[in-house]
Amino acid sequence: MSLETFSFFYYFVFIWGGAGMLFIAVVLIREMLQMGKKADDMEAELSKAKAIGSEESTI
Amino acid sequence: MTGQLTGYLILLVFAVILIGISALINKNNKLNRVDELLTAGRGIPFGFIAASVFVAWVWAGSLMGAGEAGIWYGVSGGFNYAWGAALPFLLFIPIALRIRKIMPKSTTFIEFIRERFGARLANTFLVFGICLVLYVCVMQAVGIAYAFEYTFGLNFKITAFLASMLFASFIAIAGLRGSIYNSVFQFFVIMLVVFVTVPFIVKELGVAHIFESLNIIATDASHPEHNADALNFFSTAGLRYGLSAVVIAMGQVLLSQSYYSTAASAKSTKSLFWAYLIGTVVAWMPIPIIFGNVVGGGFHALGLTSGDVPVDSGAAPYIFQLVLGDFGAVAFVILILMTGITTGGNGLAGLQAMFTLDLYKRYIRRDATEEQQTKFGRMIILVAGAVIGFAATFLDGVSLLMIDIFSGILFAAPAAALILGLWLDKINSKVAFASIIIGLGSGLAAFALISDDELNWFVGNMFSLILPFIVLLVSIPFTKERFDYNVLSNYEPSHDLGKGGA
Repeated sequence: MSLETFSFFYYFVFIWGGAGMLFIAVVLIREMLQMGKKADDMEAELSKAKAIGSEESTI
Repeated sequence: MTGQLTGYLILLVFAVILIGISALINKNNKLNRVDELLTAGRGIPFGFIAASVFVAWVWAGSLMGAGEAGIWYGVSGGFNYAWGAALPFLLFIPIALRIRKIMPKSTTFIEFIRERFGARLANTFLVFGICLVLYVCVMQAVGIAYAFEYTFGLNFKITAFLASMLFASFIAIAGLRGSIYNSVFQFFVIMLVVFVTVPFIVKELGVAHIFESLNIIATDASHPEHNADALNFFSTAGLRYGLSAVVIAMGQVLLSQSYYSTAASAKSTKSLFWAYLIGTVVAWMPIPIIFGNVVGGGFHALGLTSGDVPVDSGAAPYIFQLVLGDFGAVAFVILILMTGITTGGNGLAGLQAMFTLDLYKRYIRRDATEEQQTKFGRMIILVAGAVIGFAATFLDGVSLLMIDIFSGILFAAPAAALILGLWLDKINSKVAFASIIIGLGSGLAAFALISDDELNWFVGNMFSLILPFIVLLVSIPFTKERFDYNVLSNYEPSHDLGKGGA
């Protein structure tokens, strides 16, 4: 094995691993943001429903 | 910096973070429902599954074992470790998809074995499955304890016990969801540590210098570490090591309930397929190759010999500390802690499913409510954590690699019955049972009777995996009865699956 092939192998594996983990990291961050947004929406809906409920009971 | 206090502080900080995440999950989810606790409600998206699979398969062996392979086999060491351990995962993907398709309401692979082959074989697999998880978890506790003992001088027994109680605690609190969500945190820590420290080590040592050192090892016959194949990517010894890695990993993947539970938790079949493929082949496979290259190459580039530093457990932390100083030592310990805790936690999440569904509900308390089942599932994991911690305290000084190689013989034998039983309707229960006994017996016999220490473990591993396949395939022409896979689609578990059940 020549130095060029050896160096290529070393750097290729780094790029391969880096790309794989980075891809998962990006997807994870996107999914976490979506989950956060969903939770916020649900919370808003819940407080809205609660407000309507308390208004009705006052009437 | 590298004192005992720092060691305990690292353990404490991560314990607070991981248990905190689990407590939060416990607060926000209905974990008194069996399906929520054991399969996280079957609605986990792609990224979480991919990260969970990735971190579960990265453990002390992937880092230190691959590094050791890099030292022994040169440039082919890490690569052979990687493909050998990744192949069973590639095989697991169609298995998980097949179970999901033919038995969509199952949680554990024991449920499939019970319906397909009957109670005797299911109980045999249950024993294998429980022993495998206990073995894997003990190894994680030992790996973590070695790293802390080596770097900070912490007491081995105390660290091993604390580590196992830590991963048992967050699974007891939040079940599989706790394992998956904690995996996300651990994924980012592992990613950060690997891609900050490793390039520094390579930069310090220099690729050209590493190459020159390996060249000397390969050409200088008088060198104490001489290996003519150090720069041969396709060396026979390395290939043999890769083949044995396949056998060792085969049992560890196929009998580990946690991978089935994680597969069951996936939102859809499509996300299950891509998450397992990307989590293993794309993201996991380069890690052992990198560690094989860096630790193996670094070992020779630094002019070390196996007399200077113990190759099996000491080479990787030694190189990190030598090249990067205290920062490297702390980074390596955090890396081992994260990888060990994720694998241990993931394993225990699978154990929780087997204990709850295949033992407690089936044999101990048939009329148990979902709340009683989840309560038992949580309690038993704490007990398992204590047992694992206690067992690990006895393994100070034992080689992780030797135990790992021996585990291949013990756990590979049932793989054939499981794989062929999923697709071939003429595989018979009695022959399946016999195939396991023959595989295990011949593997152990080969290991005990072959006097050549370089060969006995390899032949033992091969016998344990391959002979059961031969026995089962030869039996097919003589079997008249056929199994009807359609009955599996009507399988109804005793607990409610909620919205993710179909």
